[in-house]
Amino acid sequence: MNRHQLKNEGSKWVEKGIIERQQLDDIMALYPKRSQKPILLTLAAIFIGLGFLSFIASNWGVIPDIARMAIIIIAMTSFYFAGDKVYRTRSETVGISLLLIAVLIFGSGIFLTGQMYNYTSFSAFPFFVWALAALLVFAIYDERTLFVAAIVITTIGQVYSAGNFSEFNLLLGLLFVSGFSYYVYHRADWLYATLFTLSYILQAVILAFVEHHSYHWLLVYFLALYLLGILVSKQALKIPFTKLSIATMFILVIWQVFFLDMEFFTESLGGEFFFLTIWVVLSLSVMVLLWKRNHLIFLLNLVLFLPVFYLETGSMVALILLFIYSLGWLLRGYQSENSGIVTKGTVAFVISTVVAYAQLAWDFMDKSLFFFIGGILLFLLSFFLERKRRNLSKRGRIV
Amino acid sequence: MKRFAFYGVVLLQVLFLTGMSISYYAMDAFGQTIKLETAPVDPRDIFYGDYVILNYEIERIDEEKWSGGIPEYGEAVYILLEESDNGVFQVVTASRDKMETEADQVRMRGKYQWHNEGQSVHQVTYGINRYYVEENTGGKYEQQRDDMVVEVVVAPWGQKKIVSIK
Repeated sequence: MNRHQLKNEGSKWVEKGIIERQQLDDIMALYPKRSQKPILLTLAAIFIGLGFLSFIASNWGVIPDIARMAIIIIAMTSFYFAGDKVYRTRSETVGISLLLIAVLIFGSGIFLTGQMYNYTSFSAFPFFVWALAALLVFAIYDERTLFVAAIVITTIGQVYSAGNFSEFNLLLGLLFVSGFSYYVYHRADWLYATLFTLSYILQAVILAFVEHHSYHWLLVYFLALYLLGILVSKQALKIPFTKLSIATMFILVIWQVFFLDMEFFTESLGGEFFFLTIWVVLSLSVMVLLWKRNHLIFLLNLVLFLPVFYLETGSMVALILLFIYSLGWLLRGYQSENSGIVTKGTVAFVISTVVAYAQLAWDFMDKSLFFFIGGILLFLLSFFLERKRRNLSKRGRIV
Repeated sequence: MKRFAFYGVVLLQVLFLTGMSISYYAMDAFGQTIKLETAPVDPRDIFYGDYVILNYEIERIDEEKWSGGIPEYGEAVYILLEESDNGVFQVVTASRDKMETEADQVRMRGKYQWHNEGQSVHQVTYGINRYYVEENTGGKYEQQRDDMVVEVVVAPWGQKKIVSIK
């Protein structure tokens, strides 16, 4: 009986009350996990798989269609069954690698079949089927590798849909919102939450540019993400949700500094009532939550979400917002003597300065002078900020 | 329970792949074969590695043949085709609505592209612009370029496939 079986059997004994949970743990401790060499085995599996694939690929043309279908299906099912078997009885790592290969074979199988039969496709539907399969396989085994694979397939599918069909694929979007979010919330794993957030941001960008034809909806999407981050109590979700939404919004404000000057972008902006209503509701919810929890300092983050594009001088106001945000956090850092916040404020302040300098001085300055003066400015700035930071550290509050 | 789910998930994937294959062969039995004329391709270089790019005459629809409102880019549109004297199918009418077909007419589903005001045509696509060929055999299609006749099978459930290029 190997360790895995022992654990399974032991759990049944605990359930039946034959032994206590503690006793089972003691027994399990007698049989430490053997240090396996799964990397070698994984590599071996990949090599065999690759050899098989290249053999098929080089003879693909002469194989009749039916035989090709048979090869794809047999390869896929064998990898699934082998992976499942190995996962349960031998090694979880190797089992997962085999299952991953099976998921990849399914995906390439869809596209190979489509190509073989000259299938027509108007949408990223094949990616949806693939992503759904990957998510279901993940749901069975609950392993990180499979989650990563499933969310990557979904995201690539959405990018493919935007690139090839200029549309946001609704099915993939629904799968993301209803399927993935369930596991992100219940597993509360920082990796899941981070990948989920990144995919959300990318899909929001696609949605805004492909479907709304205007970036201003991003404000609402990112604000919703931020609100979600405040609402959830699980730290593993809170941190990626809030930090990444703020970081992305910071980049978007920089973008606004440069692009709100151009009529091409401002023309397409609709200040619809609908948009404004959602924005106000989300902002108020954030404010109320922060106020209730006595976290009013975080209102500094909310500054970035202001819809500056309504103003004639939107570009200038966006620049001022960048400074309010960075100076605000810088001062807060000094006041609370927290070096983490000081660093955040410093980085944001330096970036804001570079943006301001580029925006204001680029047009009417000789280019060599532009870089020369800019360099000196940055040098002085870093010198000053670094000295301040060291003074703070010297006082022994921060290491 | 997990065992059951595992077999279910694998089975569904196998079914999906075989379904793709079966529906392809089923089209031969239930679908209608029509001949379509190709149109010049821009850029002229139609051969892209492992597939040939095809444009069709029926993708350019004269303004007077359009009935009803003008759709947005990417919207689903329906086109009725009828066989002309030389055996090639031509557009009868096109619309956003699913029109009823008369005898010996064929209804195709496509996606609206854009309105070409200069040439007074509406551009649509049927998603049959790629024909996959074996590597290094695309050259023979190069010579013919824009006067080919393509045989397409249209299934009652809307699926289409290219059977041959001549």
